[in-house]
Amino acid sequence: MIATICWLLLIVACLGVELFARFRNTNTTTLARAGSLLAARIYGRVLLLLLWAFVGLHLFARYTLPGH
Amino acid sequence: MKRVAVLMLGAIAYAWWASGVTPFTTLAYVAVAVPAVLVVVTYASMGALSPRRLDVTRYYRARAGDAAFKGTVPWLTVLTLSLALEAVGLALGGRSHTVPTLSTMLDHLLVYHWSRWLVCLLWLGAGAWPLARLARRSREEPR
Repeated sequence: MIATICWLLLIVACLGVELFARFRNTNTTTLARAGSLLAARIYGRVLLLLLWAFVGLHLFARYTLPGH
Repeated sequence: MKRVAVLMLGAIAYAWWASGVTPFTTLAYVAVAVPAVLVVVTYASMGALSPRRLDVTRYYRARAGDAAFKGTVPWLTVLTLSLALEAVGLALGGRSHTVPTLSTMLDHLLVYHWSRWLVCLLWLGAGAWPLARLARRSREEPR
């Protein structure tokens, strides 16, 4: 239960960082700009592509129904 | 515009079909591999995977603006905490009810076909987004 709350808090933290970066004049970057910073190098682009493919594989090809 | 609408309708239909395929079957792997290969081939054909295409690098640098490593610290902190929680969940067997992994939590969200379809559509959109941005850039400022 506590770990589930921790996951939800991390999701809320992501939203918080994004909103803070967008609407406050700070050095914090938005997720899109952080992604662009990573994609500015070729290995960053490859990493993002691999991450995207892994998510698809994990969620749709290797998805296990709860209880099975 | 018409082409974009056709592509979007195609993606919606594909996501509905792909999210209904039984996992751990050859068809399930093919359903994920087809868009993955399409995205990688299209991305490569736009020069995004070539170290010689400095225009692509310049494009991403321009999009990043004045962003610096320091500004990504909050994101890296959240990522580190997520990885730590995921590691604890995996160390406990990956299916613990007290410390679930992110996948275990998502599995419960993916029980229904409509929710799997929505997540699949988001996944396809995330793959297509950089291609659409690069294509738009090519139209606006040809190399």
